Amino acid sequence: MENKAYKNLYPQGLPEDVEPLVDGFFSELENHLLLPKRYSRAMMADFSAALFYYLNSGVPLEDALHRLDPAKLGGFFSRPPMLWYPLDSAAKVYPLSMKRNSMAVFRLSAYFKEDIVPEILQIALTFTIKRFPCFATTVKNGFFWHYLDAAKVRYSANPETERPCAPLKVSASGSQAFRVLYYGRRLSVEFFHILTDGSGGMVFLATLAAEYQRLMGFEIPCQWPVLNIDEAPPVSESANGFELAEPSATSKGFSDTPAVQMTGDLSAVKPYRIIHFEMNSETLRAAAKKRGASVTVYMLSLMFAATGFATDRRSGDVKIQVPVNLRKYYASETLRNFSMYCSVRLPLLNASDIEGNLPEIAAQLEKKSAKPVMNDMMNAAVSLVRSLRFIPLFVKRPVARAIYGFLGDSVFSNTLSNLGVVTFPEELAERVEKLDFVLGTAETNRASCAMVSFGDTAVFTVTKLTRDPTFEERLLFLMKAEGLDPAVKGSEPYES
Amino acid sequence: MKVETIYPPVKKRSRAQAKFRTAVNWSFGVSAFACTLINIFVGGALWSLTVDWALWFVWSAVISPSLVERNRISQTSKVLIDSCVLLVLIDVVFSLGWAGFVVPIVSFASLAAIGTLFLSDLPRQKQNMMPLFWLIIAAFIAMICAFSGWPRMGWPMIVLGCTALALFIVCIAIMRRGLIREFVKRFHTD
Repeated sequence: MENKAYKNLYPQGLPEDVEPLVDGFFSELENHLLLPKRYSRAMMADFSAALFYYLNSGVPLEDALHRLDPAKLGGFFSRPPMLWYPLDSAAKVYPLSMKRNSMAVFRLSAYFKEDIVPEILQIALTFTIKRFPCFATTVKNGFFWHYLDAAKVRYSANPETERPCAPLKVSASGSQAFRVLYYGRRLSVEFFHILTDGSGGMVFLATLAAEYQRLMGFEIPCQWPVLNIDEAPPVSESANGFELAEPSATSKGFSDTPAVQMTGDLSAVKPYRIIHFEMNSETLRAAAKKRGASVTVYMLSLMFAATGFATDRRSGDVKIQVPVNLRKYYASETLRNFSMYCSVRLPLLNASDIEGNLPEIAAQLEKKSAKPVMNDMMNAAVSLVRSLRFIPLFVKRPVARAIYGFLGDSVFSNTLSNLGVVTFPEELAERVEKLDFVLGTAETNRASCAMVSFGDTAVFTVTKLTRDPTFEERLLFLMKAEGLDPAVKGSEPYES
Repeated sequence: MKVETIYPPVKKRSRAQAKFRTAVNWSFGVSAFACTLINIFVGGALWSLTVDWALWFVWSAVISPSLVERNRISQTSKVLIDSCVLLVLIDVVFSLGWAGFVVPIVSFASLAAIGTLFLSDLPRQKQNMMPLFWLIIAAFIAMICAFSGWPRMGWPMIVLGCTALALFIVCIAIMRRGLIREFVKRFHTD
């Protein structure tokens, strides 16, 4: 056995009665790790560290070995990488349009009730990743399109040391297209959008969080969105959901007129700052209900008012992009991207009328996010992909990069991605205080907003791309005026 | 607005870094443009072609390397191709006449180096072997061209052909069906 780090688990050396148990465990583990040496060594060290943590915490050896049972790895790390996945129709644009300092990354976080134990989180990730084979991949260049190629490496959980949603380095062999981070009680997963959308990402976060809590000794059942990591991943989870689009006579295009942008210099560092508005979800629901609106419509109305306040423009339309989860219209189990968007627009002059705008926003949202409209949009995406399929990547890439930055988000003023109310199995929910959802920055939109509610806490997050604080200050003013009284948390500015 | 900080301190980045990158990009672009203009106005040999290519070579390798699939095989292949193009340009522009001899030498040496990189880390590099395969095919095409008279057939070309053939056989022996799978992946259109 090449790794003897575990021999130091006991200060006086392994007791005689324990040695066969531990030896057996590590030789069994070694059988499950047929990886290049540097990965298998690192993973053996991960298991040693976890075992060391258990023994120091008073967990009996048998129990510790049971929790870390190498059988949980299945054959994932002992088989050569054979799988590969074409990108789904929505993901195709992300690697084409990414730049060195700009990448479509989003982040989901769960706040536990106690500090995270890094050694155990690492093992939880090692056990969980096999259930998500399309996440255990690396981005590659094809001749016509990028694709995801299986990567059998050690997937690592790291302490948080960078700004949220910083671009991922996906160029090296076997590099991850997501990162798992921990900071205090917070477990965060940042995904390159090429892998999944918010809903798929939430399933991964929940499954990882559940496995972590199991390793910490709690019984967590496998109920949606927590997947059973010992099950074989069904093909349907990695399917391209856009193929479910029903044929339609019309197919909606993606072009639109430019929208009003908030004023303020764009920061060179992306994001400039993250700001969370934390509120009681019941208070928020009641405030929306009082106005006869859904939470999304209500928050959109506040955003319109704040966006209108944060621009020096005097005319034009404020447009807010609202992603639509297509899983509600199509029976799909996919964990990959399966969302489209609609655009809610109001004339700038009317943007500040919160009460008066609610019916218009609700009507637009209902009409523009209806299934037939989404179906047309899916068809447009599919036919766009089809029409470009024989154009080599080296031709598509520079064109897409140039177009995406200027046309891609200049047709919107802002974004609101609302994951809605997320529920976890009760046993896991007891261990989690709240969730948050952070969108990466756009190219020209000075702010992008995301929201998620969990338990009694709703977290509305603003990702800033400018030093100008008008938008968030106005939003806070409006929220306070509405009686929401949010707690304001976030990051320091990342640009000096 | 008072914000309770819940993120770890991160070293603040100044705009200077971004400004520097922009300045470098501009200086490369302006240099290329200026060289081309000067060459057009001054006349004579098209030396600006070699300068422009050399600028592109440095820019794409150092200032703005590829964001996807930057591994030892792909990068060495890129350097090889860019170097060969530069050598050919210098040869053609200044009518020196040594490219047919020098380029195959550079190519077979680089091909051998890339082959070594491939074989020295097989488990990981199997998924990165496509650039090597393209170079092998390019070497075969050069060989066929040499048989038909241009570029001239000499010992460097023969060694290049032999190196490519040896690597081709090794690749097929190692990859077997995996090679077909690599092709399916690389050329998928869906």
